Amino acid sequence: MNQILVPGQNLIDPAYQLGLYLVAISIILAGFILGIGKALGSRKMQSWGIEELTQAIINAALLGALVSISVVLSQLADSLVGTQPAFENCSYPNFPLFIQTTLCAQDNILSIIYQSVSKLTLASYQLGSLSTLTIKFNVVDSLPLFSLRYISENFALVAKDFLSCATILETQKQFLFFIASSGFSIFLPIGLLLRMFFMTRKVGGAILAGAIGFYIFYPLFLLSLTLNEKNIENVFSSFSKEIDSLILSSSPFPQVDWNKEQEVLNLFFNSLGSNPTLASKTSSVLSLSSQFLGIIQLHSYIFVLVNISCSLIFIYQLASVLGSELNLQLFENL
Amino acid sequence: MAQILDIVGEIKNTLIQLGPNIAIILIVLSGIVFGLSYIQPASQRGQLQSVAIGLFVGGVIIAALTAAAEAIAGTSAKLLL
Repeated sequence: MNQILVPGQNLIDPAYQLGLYLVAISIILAGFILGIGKALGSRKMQSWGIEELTQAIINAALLGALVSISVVLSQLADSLVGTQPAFENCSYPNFPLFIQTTLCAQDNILSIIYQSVSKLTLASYQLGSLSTLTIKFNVVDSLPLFSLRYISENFALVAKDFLSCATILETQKQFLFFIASSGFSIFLPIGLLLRMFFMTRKVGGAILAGAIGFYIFYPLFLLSLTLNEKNIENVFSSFSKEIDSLILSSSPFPQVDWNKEQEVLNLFFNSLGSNPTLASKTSSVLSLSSQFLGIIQLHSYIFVLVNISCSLIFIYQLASVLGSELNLQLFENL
Repeated sequence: MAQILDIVGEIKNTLIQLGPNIAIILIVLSGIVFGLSYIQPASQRGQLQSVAIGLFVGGVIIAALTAAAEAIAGTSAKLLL
């Protein structure tokens, strides 16, 4: 039997072979039913045999069309992303190019998130430490930078939100790994096998549609949503610049002669206090972190939901075609 | 995947080997029934002969479809291309 040769892709060829074997088995069994029905003079068995033979031929046609469409779609998807992955130092050599590019795009976003979490945690720690600075007068104790404690807590909460987004993206990445490694090698043959038999035709069609939908449509749609990563990088760049500046201005722990009142007053009211440097940097970081968090949440929540919804709609519509009994009504008059 | 392919391939080969055996059994049976029909009274002869013809045609159908199964599968896969 002719094999479909796909350069660099060894998942479809065995599935195609398996499908052809299953079709041949189906044709032989249909022949047995038809022949024995004719031998016994049973019209019911004969018509059942003819119907199964027709469905076996249709299954074979579908198999050929599905596999060639999948190959074409896979190559088309690869051509959409260019001949080489767009991200340096990122490669998943066992996967097709379009899935590699999607995974690398996700890795890029995750890397940005983890860097942001690291900076926010450091800033939170430093501001929290500064907030505990206490000036002791004779009868009064004062914490002039106590309000930094709330800023520090805010930074910690923002870091936690970033980590929640990262968890969702990591889950999606693991799902892509699973689909890329088993979508066409396990689920496509299972779908074809179940579609062969009339009892499990609909389930087989649904599994076939799921394999194609999640292997081809899901990563491509996700890639199309994450194509414009310049926006994330620009916002991250501004955010990173501001928070690095904040971290620099709030560390190391101020070295002053605590016995000299003027130096202490200068520290709190010039360097850290009414000098707009620390306060304005803090507010600037907070506003940029909201903007940045918004973009990350767009990628983590909204894009993921849209992607899953569109993929499920695609799979549902494809399943209704693949799982149905395609009657050609050729042998009605026999 | 390779193991599944081997197992399914063996099942296919077993069925391909089984087909001609069933076909021969049916054809031989048809010959026997046809021969038996001639020792029966005229009223039953026609019935037995039609059964014999049915057995023969059934055997031929099984033999033909078993022999052509792989070719049909390969050709059908290219129908929509």
